[in-house]
Amino acid sequence: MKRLALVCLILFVGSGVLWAAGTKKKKPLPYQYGSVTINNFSQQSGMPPVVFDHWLHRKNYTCRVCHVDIGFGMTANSTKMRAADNMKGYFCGTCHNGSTTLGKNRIFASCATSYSRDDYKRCVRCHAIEKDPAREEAFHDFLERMPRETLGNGIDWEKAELGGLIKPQDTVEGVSLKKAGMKVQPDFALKAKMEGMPDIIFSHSKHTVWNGCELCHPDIFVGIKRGTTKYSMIELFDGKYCGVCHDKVAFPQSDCKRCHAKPV
Amino acid sequence: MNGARMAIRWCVPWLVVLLLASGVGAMDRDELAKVLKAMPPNGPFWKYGNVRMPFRSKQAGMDPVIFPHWNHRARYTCRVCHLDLGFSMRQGDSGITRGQNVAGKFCGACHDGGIAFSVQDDASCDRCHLKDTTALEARFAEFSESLPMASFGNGIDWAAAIRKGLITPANTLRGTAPAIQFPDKLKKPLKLGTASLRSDVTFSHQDHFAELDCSSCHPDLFKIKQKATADFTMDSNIYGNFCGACHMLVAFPMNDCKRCHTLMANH
Amino acid sequence: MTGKKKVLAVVAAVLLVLSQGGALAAEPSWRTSFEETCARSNEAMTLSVGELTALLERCVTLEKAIQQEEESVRKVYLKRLQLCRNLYAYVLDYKKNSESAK
Repeated sequence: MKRLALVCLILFVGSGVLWAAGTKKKKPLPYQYGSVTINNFSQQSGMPPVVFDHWLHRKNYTCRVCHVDIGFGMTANSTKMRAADNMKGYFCGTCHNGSTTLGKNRIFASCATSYSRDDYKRCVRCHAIEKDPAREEAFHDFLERMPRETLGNGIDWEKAELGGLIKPQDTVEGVSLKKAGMKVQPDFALKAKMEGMPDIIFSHSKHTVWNGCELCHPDIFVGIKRGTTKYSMIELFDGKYCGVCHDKVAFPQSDCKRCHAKPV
Repeated sequence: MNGARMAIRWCVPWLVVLLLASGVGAMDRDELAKVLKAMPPNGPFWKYGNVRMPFRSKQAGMDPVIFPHWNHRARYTCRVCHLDLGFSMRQGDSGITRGQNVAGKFCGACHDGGIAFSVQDDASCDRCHLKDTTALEARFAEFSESLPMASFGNGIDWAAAIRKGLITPANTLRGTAPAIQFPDKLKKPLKLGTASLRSDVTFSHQDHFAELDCSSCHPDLFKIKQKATADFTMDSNIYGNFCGACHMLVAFPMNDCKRCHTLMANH
Repeated sequence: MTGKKKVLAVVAAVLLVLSQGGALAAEPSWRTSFEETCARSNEAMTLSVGELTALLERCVTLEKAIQQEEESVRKVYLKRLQLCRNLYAYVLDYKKNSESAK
């Protein structure tokens, strides 16, 4: 009898949890996809949080420039950078120093301890929680020239690079190490769990072009022997493994056919 | 004897709590009546799924746009507009403007004078910015005549219409890639248990895949892990969660009980 | 007068030495070692067990050196070191594992 009461109680409590499940989340608009809000120290020092656009940066630089050479973490707010770091030429300040150039343009400097009214305009280029129509328009101008994709940014980044539409820079002078060329590990197929679902083709070459080795191994993929770690879509959707990048910046995991690509 | 009576006395209040709390399946009459009352009435067939968009139209001094889902879904599957063209599933989220339509986005993707009448054609304004809906009603009557009947929603059994080939909605627009191959395993109807056998649900992945992509429902509406949908109740569905995201607004409404609870009768 | 000049000369010399010392501090000795050590991450899979072990030992020394630096440098370079060190350890594990499998 007591057991029945207990079961009832557990069910009663359990039914209250997870109320938010089952609703359609608002899909980020193409220009918002990959946007990261960074707010470790901004608000406590009286500035709005930083809104960082991945699309704007990844069209010019590979992932590894920032996430390996400059040392940015892989989750929002994990880097704990301060204005002082940027001003000394680290993190954002590696390029955003007022002297580094990209093509013909000088990259504006990040952060300052004191600023004039004019300088403040520079602050809010990153410390901007409000929607900026100019940013949005810049995205749409860029999007027009890119190969299209349904989900994510609406841009097929991989095709864009293959077609030479973007040429992301892989090194930053004085920061990146001079490395030998890479011997790319072979591509491989992973068996899909569900019968009839096309198998997954994982391409090392496609991933190492932008990431190098140390970005994924061993932090994200720790398995040494192929086939020993079982990946499930449940974990992936929870942001593990592939989900560290895909769903956040790289194309979303709901774009099934991009990975489940092996003809059956 | 006495012991058994004690046991029943003990059980009943707990069972009531359990039923109220979980909401799954065997509801008593009062509960069921409450749920049914929460459902919008079964309106005129031609009106079901029509979306009225008054906000920007009003600002521009135009009559509101009345968008009929029924005459679009006869030609295109849900995924064409809600995935490829980026129409949100929630009213007001897409932020459609005339400028975007003229630039070939949203409605303008087809309403360009090629596939359908142009958004820039001055003579066509009142085809969407509707003051008078009698013509639309008449067109619906003509359109629905030859299609299989359903008792609720549009009064049309859309899934049967597709299966019988009476309508053949296109699944892509120009240049968009075809969807992923549909795994055989998912072709079998999914049996979902409820508290009583009589109310068990039969779900067809295939009927849904004919209109949608995996990403339309997974993982937002339904996590693929079955236990993750613990609060999957009739109530939460009616208020727009889970199936209710579509099956109260455009796809057949949930008063049509037996479409999912195959062994139940409609009330 | 000459006494004053002498003093000035000494001060100048001291300043010169100090400023050069400052320049040396801007390019600390561990930087070269760090660059050499972590530059091999692309070839990690082609390195031998011996080479990897040696690289990992250098990483340990490097970590101690970087720990002495100021906060910003520590934040950046410990993270960078961690990435390449973990990779070497990972590849070393892989190599040992496949050797023992043989």
